[in-house]
Amino acid sequence: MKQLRKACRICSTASLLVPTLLALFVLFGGQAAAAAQEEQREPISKRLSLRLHLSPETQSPLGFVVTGLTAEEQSTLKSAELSQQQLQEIMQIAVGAKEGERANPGLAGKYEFLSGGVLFQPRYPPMAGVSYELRFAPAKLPQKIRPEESDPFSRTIAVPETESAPTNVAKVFPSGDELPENLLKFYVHFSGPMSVGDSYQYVKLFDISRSGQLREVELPFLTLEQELWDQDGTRLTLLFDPGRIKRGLKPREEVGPSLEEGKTYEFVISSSWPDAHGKPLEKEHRKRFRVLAHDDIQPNHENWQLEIPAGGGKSPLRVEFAEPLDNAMLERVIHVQRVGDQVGESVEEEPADVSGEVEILNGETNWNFTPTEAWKPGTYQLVIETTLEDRSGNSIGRPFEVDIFNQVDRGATRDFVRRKFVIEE
Amino acid sequence: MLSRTLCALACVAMIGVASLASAQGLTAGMSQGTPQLTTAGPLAFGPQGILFVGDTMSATVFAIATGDTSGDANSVSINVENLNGKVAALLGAEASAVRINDVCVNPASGQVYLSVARGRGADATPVICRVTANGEVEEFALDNVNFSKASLPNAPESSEGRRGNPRMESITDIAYVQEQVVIAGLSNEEFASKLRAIPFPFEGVNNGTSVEIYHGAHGALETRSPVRTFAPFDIGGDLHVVAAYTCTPLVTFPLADLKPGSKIQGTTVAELGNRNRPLDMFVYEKGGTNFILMANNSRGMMKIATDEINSVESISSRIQGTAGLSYDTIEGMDNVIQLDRLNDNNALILVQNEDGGQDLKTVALP
Repeated sequence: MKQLRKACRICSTASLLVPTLLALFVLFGGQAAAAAQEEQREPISKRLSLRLHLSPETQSPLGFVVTGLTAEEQSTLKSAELSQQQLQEIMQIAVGAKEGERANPGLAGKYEFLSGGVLFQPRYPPMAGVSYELRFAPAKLPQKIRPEESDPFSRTIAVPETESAPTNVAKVFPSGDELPENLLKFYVHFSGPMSVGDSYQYVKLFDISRSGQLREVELPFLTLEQELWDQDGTRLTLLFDPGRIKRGLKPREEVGPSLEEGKTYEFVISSSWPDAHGKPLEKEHRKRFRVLAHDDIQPNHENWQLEIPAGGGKSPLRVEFAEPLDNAMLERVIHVQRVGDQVGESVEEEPADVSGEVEILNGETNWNFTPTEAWKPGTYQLVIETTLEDRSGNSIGRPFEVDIFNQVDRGATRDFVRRKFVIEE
Repeated sequence: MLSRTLCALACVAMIGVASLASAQGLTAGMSQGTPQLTTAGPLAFGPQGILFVGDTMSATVFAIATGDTSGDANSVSINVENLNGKVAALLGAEASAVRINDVCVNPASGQVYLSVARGRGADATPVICRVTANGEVEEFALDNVNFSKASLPNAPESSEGRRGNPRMESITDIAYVQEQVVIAGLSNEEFASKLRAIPFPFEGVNNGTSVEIYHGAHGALETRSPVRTFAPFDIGGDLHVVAAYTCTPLVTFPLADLKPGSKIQGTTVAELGNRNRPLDMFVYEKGGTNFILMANNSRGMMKIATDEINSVESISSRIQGTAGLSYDTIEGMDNVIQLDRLNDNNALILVQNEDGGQDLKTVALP
């Protein structure tokens, strides 16, 4: 995925087979060696250079190559059978220090002799946008090839920035512009992977009810050390502080709720938020919404409206909810099962999952299921995990606010509810 | 960040549980190899130099036998300026592309372990680094180590691939106490904060049962609020977990209650003020009294005497300001982002500087 704007490749005309996967990517030849021969009378400090060793497949850097050694120098170095530690004392590679800073420690890694130079494969590959430094100590070379000039010298190379399309906020859920006072979370979807770890400083909530003026809401979100990202780093779950949602708790009593019924707010995502490549977002994202009353009603699957398709086709099953439900959970917690061949058959037969595509529409109030294969007439059921929540954290299994000490431990098992429907001929 | 394991040692000293004899078999059942971490998050140490690493992305806890079992933590004093810069240089990266997720002291040696992300995104490379007793920063390579692991229920199945199920249960904190690993977790979808106690050595695939924590406050029962940081603690001879919640109550509950099928109602022993986020805590003993040292984002470093933790009346009515156990704010310990107990007399803190640098410092226990 990573592509470099410019590539510093070692060109070659012949290949050398070495028993490492890495070496398969590298083709070295006599040209570089011949050039080095011609330049052998040049001082070593003029001849040596540091280049990136790139994967021919992805063009991403895998390591560094020190080139410019004469054939004699290279062969003597190789035959001296120096330890990795001794090689590091001769040609150490480190992150380049900024002016006025102390030199950085050398990178851990492995040296390997190739025909056109010495390959250094660091334990972790070079990073885009970082400058690296070769610190060469001629005085540490074996006696036979030790030059008169003994002063250490350095070479630097900057790994080009990664070329990537600008990243932006793709969508924020809930998608509606009227949200309940006890809204529990936002899902922020990005067009590409984001940097993680400092997210909360880039999101702000403003109360704009007073003549359109922006008044920042203080600490509306739950700041977590372990931010709630998906595995790709493209979706952040941003929880509102539950202490300011639940009635009777001190944060809400003293500071007030983050959102108040009747007011209008703007949720702002700063364009200065760096993506995973370190580049800021292309533009700021704003979501304006009006706040409705507190919602403490649990979703009830019995109240959902089902539009049932006819058998023999692939028309979607359409389910309409009484209120918007959690977008992320709708993707995964509702399943369709076929429970019998005959219309009206009991569900005692082993249910079979029906595969298909899910679409969530109309502000998370519609769930459409298009089967992969045409509907066969028979009895089906929707199987719904009771963890399915509305926008305020009220789930089918339990309201968000529980003020009684009731049965709470359901263990690690999931609970389900079911809703039967029939596909006619 | 969370460190608390060490209080495990404190607990051992206090009540003599988890004898050395019983700890002998803790590496039994481990296999040799390279643990495949996807992230390196919260850390905790058990006895025998066993490091627990919370892999938040795969909802798995790894137990790694570091072999780092010799040394004298009481003789250690570590101060490293610009620790994040040094770690970045070691890993061939700029400081802005490296994040120290947690800092944890190995009580067996006094050496400091760091969980690190090399890279900015969710695909950053997880690395464990170590600060030696003489202040050298090095990588603790996970090649060919003895380790075992336990995955939490509902973790995305590997067969689904990285673009599969986006639901994750993030591990927010871990601790080791009395042959159990206590894990706090939070889902990135349904609102469910879980606390689990998993027996260690890990046994098969039975990873314990999640329970939800209730704590009495404000005349109502607060449910499902995420535990921010916690530490094992002895109260009257029984091991407890003392937990700091997002809405700032300090809650205790018996560790023995944290088991499958249990219902837990915690005791709110303190309200530590509003507009405040607890970051990290541990328990220590000084002059015959046990204290909780807690770093906070806006109320500085708190030192909480626990003499009355067993007798303080549970806060069950609406209160103004703070209530229950009182605390002192420790001056000169601002901007602490990580905290652990280094030894009998000192704490180890990671301080965030305005220029972005993070300094590791040894400070006397207040």
